[in-house]
Amino acid sequence: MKNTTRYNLLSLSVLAALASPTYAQEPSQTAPSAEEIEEITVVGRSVSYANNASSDEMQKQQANLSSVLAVVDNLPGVLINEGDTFGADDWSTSIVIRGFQVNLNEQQIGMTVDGIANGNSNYGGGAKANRYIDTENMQGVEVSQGTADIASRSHEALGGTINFTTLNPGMEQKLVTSFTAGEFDASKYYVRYETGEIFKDTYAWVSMSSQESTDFIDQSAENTRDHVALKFISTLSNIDFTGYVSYDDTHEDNYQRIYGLAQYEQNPDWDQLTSEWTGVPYQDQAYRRGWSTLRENLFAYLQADFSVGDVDVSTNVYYHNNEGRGDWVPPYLVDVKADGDNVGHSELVNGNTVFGGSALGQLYFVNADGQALSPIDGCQSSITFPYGGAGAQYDPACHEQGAIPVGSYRHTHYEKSRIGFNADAIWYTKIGDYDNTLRFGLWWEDYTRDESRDWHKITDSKIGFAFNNTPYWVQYDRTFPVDTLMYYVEDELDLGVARVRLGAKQFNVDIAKDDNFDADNDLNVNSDSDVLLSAGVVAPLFVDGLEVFAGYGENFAAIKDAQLERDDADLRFIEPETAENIDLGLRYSSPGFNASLTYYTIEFNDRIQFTSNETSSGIDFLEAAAGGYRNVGGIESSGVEISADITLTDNLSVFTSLTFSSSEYVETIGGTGTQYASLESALAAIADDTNPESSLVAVKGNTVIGTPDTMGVISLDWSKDNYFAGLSTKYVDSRYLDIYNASEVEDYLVSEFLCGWFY
Amino acid sequence: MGGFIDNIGQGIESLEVRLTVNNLFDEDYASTIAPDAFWIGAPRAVAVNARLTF
Repeated sequence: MKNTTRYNLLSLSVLAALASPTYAQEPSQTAPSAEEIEEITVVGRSVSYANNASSDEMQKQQANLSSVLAVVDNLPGVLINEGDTFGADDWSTSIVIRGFQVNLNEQQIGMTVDGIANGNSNYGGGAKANRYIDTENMQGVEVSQGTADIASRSHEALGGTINFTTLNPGMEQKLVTSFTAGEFDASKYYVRYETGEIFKDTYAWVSMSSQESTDFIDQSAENTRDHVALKFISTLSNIDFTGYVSYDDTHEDNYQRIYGLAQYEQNPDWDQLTSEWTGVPYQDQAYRRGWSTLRENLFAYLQADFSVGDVDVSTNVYYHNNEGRGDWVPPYLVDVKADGDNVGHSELVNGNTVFGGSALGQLYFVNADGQALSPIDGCQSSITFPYGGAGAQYDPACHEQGAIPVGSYRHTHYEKSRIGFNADAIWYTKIGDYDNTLRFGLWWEDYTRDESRDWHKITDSKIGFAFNNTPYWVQYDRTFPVDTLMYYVEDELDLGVARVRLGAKQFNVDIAKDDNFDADNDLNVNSDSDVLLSAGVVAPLFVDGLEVFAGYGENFAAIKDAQLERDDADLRFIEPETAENIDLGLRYSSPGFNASLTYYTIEFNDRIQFTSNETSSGIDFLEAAAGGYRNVGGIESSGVEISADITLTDNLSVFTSLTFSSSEYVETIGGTGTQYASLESALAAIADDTNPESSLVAVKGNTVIGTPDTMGVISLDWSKDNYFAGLSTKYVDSRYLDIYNASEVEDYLVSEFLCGWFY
Repeated sequence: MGGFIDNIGQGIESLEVRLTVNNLFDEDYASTIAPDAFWIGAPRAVAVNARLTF
C-alpha cells in the first residue's frame, strides 16, 4: 500500500499546521491536498516525465494585482508573455512551452484548475486560469512540460499541462485583508474570511476582491475585475468533500499588436491605439476603449474522495458558464437592407434589426435624411492614420458641409456552458513481491458554446462611442455543441530497482455547428483520437536522492469548435493535432539542493493554425468569423531543460533554470495546403500566375515563430527575521516573427524585485 | 514595529508589507509574438501590498 496518497484532509491539515513556513505567506496554515504533499520541490515530483512546481517566492515576485499566469514564467521551458503590466489583457497574452503555444492563433497547451478542465484557453469562449482563481487564493501551479499525467483533462494538451490549484481552508477562524496599489492607476482590495471549523470536520473560506488599472501606453484603458470565491472541505462518513465556487467579472481594454520592426523603430512606446475620440470614424476605429474584452465566468465543482478497500476513488462534478463580449468600432455602418432609392437608410433608425443576410455595402457619411453620401469627385483623402491612411469615402474633408459621419460598435458575443464529471480510481495491490498501482478513470464533459455578432449604430460618431442599444444587424448566431469522453488506464509496477508504468487513453469528441439563421451551414464532425499510449520508468541511481526517468507519451488535441466558425469551413482537410513526446532526465533531491535535467524530443503532426482577419492594412470587420483554420504541417522540437533550487545559507537561496530549445517546421507548406519539396519550388509556385498559391504557412527547417532557442532564469531570495527580499532575472533569446525567419525581435533581460516585512 | 502592531489591536494576527517592482530596469522588449507582429512588453511597474490578518 502506498501511504503517501492516503491522507484525509484533516490529517493533512494537522500536517500543515505543524509545518514551519519559510516566511509568513499565510501564518495560519492551510490544508494541502494529497498531491501537494508529493510536490516537495520546485524541480518536480518523482514521476517519469518532466514537471516543475511554482514556489512561494515565485508567487511573491508578482504583485497581487497580477494574473496567476505570471507565476510560472521562471520555470524551465516556460515563457509567459502578457501584453498588460498586470495581465489585464487576454487579447495579448501568450504561453510558450517547448515550441507549443497558447495565443490568439493556437492553443496547444492544456490548462486545468484543481485538475478540472478549463474549457479551452482561446480568446473567444475559452477561459484561462486567471478567470477562475484570484491571485491571493492560489495555492500553487504545477507545469508538466510534455507528456503530462495520463489523467490530465484537456482537449489541448499537446505540449503539456499547467495545473493551477486553489488554497484550502485553514483550521482557524480569521480575516485576511489586503490592499495593493501600483503604477498605472492600479489598485486592488481583497478580503477573505476563514471560518475555522463551522461544523464537525468542516472548514471554509469566502473571498471577495475588486481591482482596476489602466494601460501603460496612454492610460486610457479602464480595466476592472471583480472576483468572488468560496471553498469548503468537509469529512463525512470517511468521505472527504471539497467544494469550490468562483465568479469573475472582467472588463479589459486591449493593446494592439505592432506590425513589424519598422513600426516599432518608428515609435517603440505606442501600439497605435488612441486615447481621444476624434469624431472621424476612420481614426476612431483605433480608439482603445472601443477595443474591449468583457467576460463573466462562474465556475463550481463538488468533489468527493474516499477509499473502498485498497482502492482510492476521487470523483467530481463541475459546472462552468462563460459569457463575454469582444468589441471593435468599425468606421462605417453596414448596409444590410435594400431600402430603395431616395429614402433614408433603415440602419440609422434605432429599433430596426436585420437578422442574418449579408452586407450590401457600407455607409460612411449620410445626410440629414439618412441617405448615403459619396465623396466629392477627385478628392484625395488627407487621413494618414491608422493602417497607412484611408480613401476619400472615409474623409470628412472629402464630403460637402453637413455630411454626418456614421460608424458601428461591433459586438461579438460569447457564451459557453459546461457540465462535466470526473472519476479516478487508484488500486494499490501487489504482483508477487512488488507493489503495483493501477489507475483508471474517465472524464465526461458536455458543453455548448454560443457565438453571435451584432452591429450597433454609434449614436453620434462626432461626439463619442456610445451606441444604440438595439443592434441594426445581427450578422450571425451559431451554437456549437461539443461532447467529450476521455478514458484511461495506467499500471505502474515498483520493481525496487525501478518503477515502470504503461498506460493508454482515448478521446471521443463530437463537435457540431448549428447555424441559428441558416441550417445549410450546419456542420458535424467526429474528432476521436486513436488509442494514445504512454510509458515511463523512474529508477533510483547510486547516489541517494538521485533518480533517472524516461517517459513516452502520445498527446492529442481535438478539432476545436472555433474551426467550424467559417461558413466555408471545409473539414475534409482538417485533422486533429497529435504529438509524440519523449522525456529523458535526471532528478536529484536532498535537503538544501534539488535539481533536474531533462532532454526532450517531440514530433508534432497536423498542426492547426489560425489565420486572423486582422492585418497591417486593417481589419476585415465583415468576415463572419474571427479568421480561418488549416493544418499547416508538423514541427519537430527538441531541447534540454535544467532547473536547480539551492539553499546557500539559512537566509539565502537561489533558483535557476535554463532552457535550450529547437523548434522547427518539418515541411514547406503553402496556403492552399500543398506541400513543396523545397522553398524554391514553393516560391516558384507563388510566382506562377496560373497557380492559386499566394503565400506559405511553413518553411522546412526554419524556426517556429515566437519560440526562443535559449531562456535562463536566476532568482535570489533572502529572508532574515521579519524581513525578506528577492531579485529575479529572466533572459529570453531572440524570436522570429515570420516563417521565412527574415525578421526577429531582439533578446531581452527582464528583472523582478521584491522586498517586504511581516509581523 | 511589532510593538505598534501589538498596540493597534489584540485582534491583529499579522501584518505584511511587500513592494514589488516588475521590469526593474525598464527594459524595452517584445512581448507576445504573432505572425509578422508582436506586442510591446510592459515597462517598469511598482506596486505595494499590505496584508493584515485578524
